[in-house]
Amino acid sequence: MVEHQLEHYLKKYFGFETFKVGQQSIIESVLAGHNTLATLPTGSGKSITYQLPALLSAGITIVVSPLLSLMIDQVKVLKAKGIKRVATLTSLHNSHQKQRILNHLSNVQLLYCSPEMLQQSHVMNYLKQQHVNYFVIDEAHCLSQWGHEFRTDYLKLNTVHRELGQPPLLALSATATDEVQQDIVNHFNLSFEKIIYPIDRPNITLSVRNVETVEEKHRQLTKLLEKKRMPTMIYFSSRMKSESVCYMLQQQFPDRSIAFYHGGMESEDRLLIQQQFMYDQLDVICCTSAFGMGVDKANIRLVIHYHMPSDLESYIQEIGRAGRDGRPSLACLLYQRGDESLPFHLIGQELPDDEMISAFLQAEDLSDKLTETQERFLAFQAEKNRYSSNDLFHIIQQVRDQRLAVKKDSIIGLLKWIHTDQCRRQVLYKKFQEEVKTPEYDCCDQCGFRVDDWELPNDVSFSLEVNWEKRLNELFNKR
Amino acid sequence: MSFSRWLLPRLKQVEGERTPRSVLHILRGKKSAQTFQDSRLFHLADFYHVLPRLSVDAFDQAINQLKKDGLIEEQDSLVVMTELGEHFCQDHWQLELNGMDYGAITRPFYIRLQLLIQSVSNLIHNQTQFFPITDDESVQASIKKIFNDYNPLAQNGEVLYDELNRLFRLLNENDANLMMLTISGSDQIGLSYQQIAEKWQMDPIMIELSVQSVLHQWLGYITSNPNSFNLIKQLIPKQDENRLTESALLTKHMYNRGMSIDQIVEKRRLKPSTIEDHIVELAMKEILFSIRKFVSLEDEKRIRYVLEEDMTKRLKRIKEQLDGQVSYFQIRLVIARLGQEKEAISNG
Repeated sequence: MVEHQLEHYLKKYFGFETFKVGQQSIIESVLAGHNTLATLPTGSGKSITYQLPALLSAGITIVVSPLLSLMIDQVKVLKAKGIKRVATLTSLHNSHQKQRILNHLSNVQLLYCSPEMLQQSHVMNYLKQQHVNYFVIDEAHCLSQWGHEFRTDYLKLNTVHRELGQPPLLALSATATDEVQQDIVNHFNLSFEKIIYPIDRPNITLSVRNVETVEEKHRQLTKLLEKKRMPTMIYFSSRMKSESVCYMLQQQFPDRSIAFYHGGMESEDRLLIQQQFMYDQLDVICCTSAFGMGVDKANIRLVIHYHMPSDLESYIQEIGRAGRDGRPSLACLLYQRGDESLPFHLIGQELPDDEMISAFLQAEDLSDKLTETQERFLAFQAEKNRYSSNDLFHIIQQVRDQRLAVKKDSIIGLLKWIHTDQCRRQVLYKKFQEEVKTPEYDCCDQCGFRVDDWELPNDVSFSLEVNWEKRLNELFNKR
Repeated sequence: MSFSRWLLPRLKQVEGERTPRSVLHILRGKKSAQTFQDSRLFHLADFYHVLPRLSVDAFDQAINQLKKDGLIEEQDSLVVMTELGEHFCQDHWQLELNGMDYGAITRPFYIRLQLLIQSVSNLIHNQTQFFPITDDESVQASIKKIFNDYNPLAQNGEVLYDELNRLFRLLNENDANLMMLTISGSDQIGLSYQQIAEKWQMDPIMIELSVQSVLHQWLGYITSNPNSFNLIKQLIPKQDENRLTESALLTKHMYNRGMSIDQIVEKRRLKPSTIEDHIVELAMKEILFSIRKFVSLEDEKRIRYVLEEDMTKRLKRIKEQLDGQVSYFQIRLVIARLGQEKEAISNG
């Protein structure tokens, strides 16, 4: 398809005049029927690279995604744009709803699926009767043992792909090292066209603040927020902490609008907070990683990490929410010695300990003792090694330890970045690309940037209308 | 005012007769015959189902606060007022709740109203891309139907504007502003109860109760003046039988087809006392349900007389009248016996 035609459809379906960097070459590769492995930085419109081909084709496009919230947000965005022939197939549906979707597959152009749904032969029987245009694997790094979010249920996707008649495959990720890319290619044992775009963001200035105490951390936080009123995200690894720091900041900045957001809230409240942030009605949001999946807010100026995440990939994703409008933005991580104990603790909860493994193998009832990820891990390993002549306990123990070691290495990788005395930009992206673009504004604190000197235009303000009568007139556009 | 202080007069109603949790069940609108009976018996029907999502934790926290403040005590797990508690029992917070009539339909009505306003406001401003305030597809479908059937966008939404204007004018300034803050439109997104509470330095549960109170006033006004609210009245869910427990609903259908209690017992293979529970539930929830088949007018009068006598004799007063020489335990024993006898009469 010629260029101006593609742009015509981009405008028609998504309302954009031109493609962002990388989108078009990926779309062209997909439309040409090539198996494609592509990386694009967060916030550069990865999803359009399969959504547009799906809308231009007569059959169905299947998208595998690891996160329910991600799929639901994607579908919501599409529906808001008037694109209605989309559906999700996930464990959230009861069997009745699921069947309804399966019965109407011929009306669906874009089907978002969780990987475990594709393990059900009942579902597969329906899908096999459809003409599948493209098979898309989002967050494809989940396929790799080396990936930061390895998902065992991704490891059967090669079988699924074969059963569907090997339609053209698109594997997408924002963060895939060479090792991860190789794992993906090996898994499918197919030849891929690789389209790898650098993921560094030249308009984001990087910095780390080392602090000795919690009090100092809070002081630094206050200093950052004091500067200007601007759309700001503060990331936490704990729900409780996101609330308590939010309350503290509300006290300190009574004229700002500050809220918290985490997975423990009512879904309607979460929708409200998310939308308020989009409308510039909130200045600061104190959130966990549950926030921001489908959030495409262009003018986030400041992303602060109150807690460090557990790997470089997550950090790159999270700071990637800043400055999507291309304007100067700042990412600042606050580090207090010992902060790493939290991610170390969290990875412990993701994998089963020895006691859990042996209890699981003896078929004891563990229903409320295991987390979801622990249970999935055990079930997968037990099934995979069913016919192994070796001691199952030791096999699982070994895999667990190997996985634990990868995770620990990831945390250490981030710690090294925190403690580096070299250019932060170079070190952060080293695993993912050969070189980084020249920063458009300040580079990082190792290259002479001082957080205290950071200046930004005061460009966002919102005043909440409290009077009901004025509000009513505004709602109905009466003056 | 804190939620715990607001709770105090409700607890007084069940003083010496029920546990604090019985009030939680009423506020959450538990669908059990016991809770229904309690809300009638202790004059708490207005509060039935007004806080459907109130957590046990939040409730217990309020109870503990009241104990800490020395306003209530628990004796043999029953709630009892202290002298100080009696003193603080006046209702300073005037809410116009009508939970028994509207509790079950308030939430769906409210979400539909919010989505209708959000949609109309955005479309009037030519903003066709917006995220609905609810993910609930059945709510979205019901609003889509309203767009098809009533064209709320005609004359720039004049009908909806006019109906809303009249509804807001019913409220005092404070309530009107509070209510409007929860509404989302093209200009701004509604605030959560938590956020309004932070802004106004209040208890989020009290914000929720105020919103409920506004909605109950509106529902009352709309249903008594339906011809003045041709659009908004479409958002009120049909007051169908969903307030009955499922099992009671089945009993109701069989009863309406002319089956006797004995026949229903035999057909459903349930205990007679269970079917009687259902009949009691019907009698409480459905004003049109006649109990005359089971109780003669004369019997009903006699029972009412005794009951009303009894109701006035609250535990504490009984104790006072006996110069404090008997224990609550003793009084409760006698009341329990009395209750059994009452039940025997109504069953007989």
